[in-house]
Amino acid sequence: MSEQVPLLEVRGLSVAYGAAPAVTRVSFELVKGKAVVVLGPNGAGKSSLARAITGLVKPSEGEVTLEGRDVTGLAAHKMARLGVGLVPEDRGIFRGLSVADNLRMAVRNGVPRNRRDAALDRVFELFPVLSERRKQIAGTLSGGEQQMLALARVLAGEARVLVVDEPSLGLAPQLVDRVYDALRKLRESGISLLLIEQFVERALGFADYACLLSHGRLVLQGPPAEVRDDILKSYLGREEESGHPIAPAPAPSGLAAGINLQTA
Amino acid sequence: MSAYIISGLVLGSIYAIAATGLVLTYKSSRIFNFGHGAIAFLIARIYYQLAQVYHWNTALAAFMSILVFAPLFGVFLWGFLFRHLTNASPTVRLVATIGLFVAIPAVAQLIFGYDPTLNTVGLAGANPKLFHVFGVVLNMDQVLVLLFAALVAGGMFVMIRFTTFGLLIRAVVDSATVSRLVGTDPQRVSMGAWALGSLLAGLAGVLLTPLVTLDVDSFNILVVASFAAVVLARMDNLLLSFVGGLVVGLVQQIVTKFIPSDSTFLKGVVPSIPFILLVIFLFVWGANRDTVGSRQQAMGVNPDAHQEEVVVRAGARPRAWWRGLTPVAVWGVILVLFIPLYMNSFWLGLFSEGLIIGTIFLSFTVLTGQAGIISLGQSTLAGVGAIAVGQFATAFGLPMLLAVILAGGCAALLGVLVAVISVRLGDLYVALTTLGMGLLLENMVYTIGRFDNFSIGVSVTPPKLGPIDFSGRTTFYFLVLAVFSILALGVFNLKRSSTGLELAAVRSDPVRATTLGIRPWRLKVFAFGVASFIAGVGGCMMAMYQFRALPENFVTTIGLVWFAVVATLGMRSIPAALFAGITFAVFPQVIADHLSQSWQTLPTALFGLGAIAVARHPDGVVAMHASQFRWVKRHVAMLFHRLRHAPEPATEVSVA
Repeated sequence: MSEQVPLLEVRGLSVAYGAAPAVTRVSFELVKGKAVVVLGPNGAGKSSLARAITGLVKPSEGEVTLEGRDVTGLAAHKMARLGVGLVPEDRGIFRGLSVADNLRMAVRNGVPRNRRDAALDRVFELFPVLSERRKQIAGTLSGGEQQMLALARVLAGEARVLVVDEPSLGLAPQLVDRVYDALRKLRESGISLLLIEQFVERALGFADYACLLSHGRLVLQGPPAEVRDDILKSYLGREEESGHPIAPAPAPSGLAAGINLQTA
Repeated sequence: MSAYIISGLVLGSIYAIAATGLVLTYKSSRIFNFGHGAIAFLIARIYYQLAQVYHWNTALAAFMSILVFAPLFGVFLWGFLFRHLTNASPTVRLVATIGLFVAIPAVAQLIFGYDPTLNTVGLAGANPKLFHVFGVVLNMDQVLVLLFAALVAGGMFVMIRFTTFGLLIRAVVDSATVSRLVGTDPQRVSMGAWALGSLLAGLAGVLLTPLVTLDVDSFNILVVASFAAVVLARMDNLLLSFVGGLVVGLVQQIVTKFIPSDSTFLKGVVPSIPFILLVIFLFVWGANRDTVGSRQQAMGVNPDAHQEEVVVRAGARPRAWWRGLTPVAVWGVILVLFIPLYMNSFWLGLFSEGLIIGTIFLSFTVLTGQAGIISLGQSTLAGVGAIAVGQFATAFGLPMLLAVILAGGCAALLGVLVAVISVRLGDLYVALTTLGMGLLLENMVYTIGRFDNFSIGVSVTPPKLGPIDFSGRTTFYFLVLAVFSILALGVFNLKRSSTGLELAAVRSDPVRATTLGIRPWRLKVFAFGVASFIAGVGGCMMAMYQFRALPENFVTTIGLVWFAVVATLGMRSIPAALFAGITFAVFPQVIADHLSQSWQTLPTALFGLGAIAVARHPDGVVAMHASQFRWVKRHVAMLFHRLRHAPEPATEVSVA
């Protein structure tokens, strides 16, 4: 498949909770096998964007298309069946169910019966630790293992697009490395990733394309190499050390407000 | 002894089957179905109709009623009602299922008629085969009960553990959101659970048919017995709820052995065992206060923590008292005041009764409207007031005013006691405790000879004040009006007071209210006390109206219908309580005057259906119509505005 054909396209998407706007007219596209990272401080609207794309909240305007098909506002379970998976901030696993049951739920929809065993085998090959713990209740896994399970769940379900909300939240640095290794493997297997992050350096080092959200608006976007300096210096107003989350940002001003690329 | 154990196991098995169905639906949708027993009744009634009126083959009748109609009815209820309640507040969910409790039996009677269902035959046919086990004679019906119970227990275990549907239910119970994320529609799973829950209710109902008379009251006992089992299981554990059902049945039968059959008081104990166990279980959970629910709610992760939206005018100065009186309310009150001048004494009496019930309904205005608590025991509290006024005024010869205040105090005391036990456990448990209390008192206190007085009650005469004798229809009407007005003013003032504001805050969000230094628990107990006092005084007035304090006029099921009426017509406002009271008294008479005898349960059915409809309009139909009225008014005003200002009116009128 040509890399130029966007798998998932988001055009002018807005989300509002009552009268409060969370996301305002955001547009970007996601190409097969690529990773787009959405950066931004707390409250910038990142999670709302993720939830609107995957159908957990209904967008107030704009549209989402998957391979040209309009999927705007489709219910979450229908999006999941179309191959758009979300790993939410709180990992999105069934804490009270065993690892094996979690994965059984994941392959139930979308994976034909005769391929389910193969799908599980592939998952266990990629995440051997889960294979050892398949009888264990998911809520008793360590944070890193839970994140692995969340990713494994999406992989087993043969998702084509994966939206991951802050995969490194609350994890020790070594575990974050392992999560990113896993994400890399997912991308290599052809899954398109939409990564929501606060860890700027690591996310920029990983992604093929970066967007910066501020107050619900897309204020910067481009290949990481091009936008890296702008994101770090202009937006934050200071050099950010690698591995640290972005500090809660002031209102966009100066350069950031000038470079409004949302219409691009 | 073995005879008691085996009959206990048979009864317990039926409770267990019902309880399992109840927990299954509660787990999958977080809706506690008070109408579970009503569904059991409906299915049993349909079975009776097919097997004994249409003379179908027993197996075919059982198949059609239990395996076809019951699941379909469950799916129907899901699609029509429960599906829409997913995001409703706990209060609204309770109101809806209490509506089912009231409406289903009434509708069933409308459909099937009022002929007594005699010689009900169970699944084993008219002459069940007899078996001898451990020296005890068992008939085929009882054996079938035990077999079905074993089948249900085993079947549920296998289903939950090993089948795909079981996995789906466990997954949806664990997290509805994650279920959606993996492509499973939680609503579909919930639909399946309702079908299965309804099937289990139907099975329990049909199995119960040969053991009791096929009437609503017997089935209410079934459902409350299964409530006890469900509470034992903390609404969560299917296996424990099953065991709980068995335990309740066993205790109930074994106690029979040790109770002398000639004691009137103790005769009331046996049917009360389920409620006694219910209260004991609640008490045990009450001692263990830090329930999972409250912790989760505090953490903000509990789906049940969805609270009613209440607009509290923050920072506003207290409004002058007359600002709350809308023109509609003023005209309503004036209208009511002048009604007696235009009516014959029969209708005047009905309006007096309506006003008295309106007085009792004021207790719902405080309790449910202001404190957000659902009590199903208001009729019991009114009954306690009536019984007490009979004792104080007639037996002890106290002055009427003092007797009424003391009687209200008795009701308040009981209300506070119930509140102390249950309020901390949460809304659902309050509803269950008040229901259990009502049934308990009904069996054990109402039947005491001193109160019951050979089913004619203790006589109560309206008081005299100087030359005015309130026994006359018109004078009594004005007495009732005065009592209503005084209590209404009290309720109105409570609403405007800082306590009222705190109540509104607690209703809106208990956790945040706590952070403001409000103690929700104390406040709710206080509201319970006030509401119970009002209900007790209402009960006194009812006793005066009937010239006697007859406990059986205050049975629990009446209280449930009352609740449905208030829920339908509005919980929040005083005019709504008045309107609801008068409707409850007058509407059945209007039906009786204009429709044949076969429509006699129509009012009850409508009240129940009204409560169900409220699931969509939580403020009641008065508020609903008020908002429609405002809508019409606004649009008419807009139309006139446009007509006046539009340069070319002809093209603009189409806006309307």
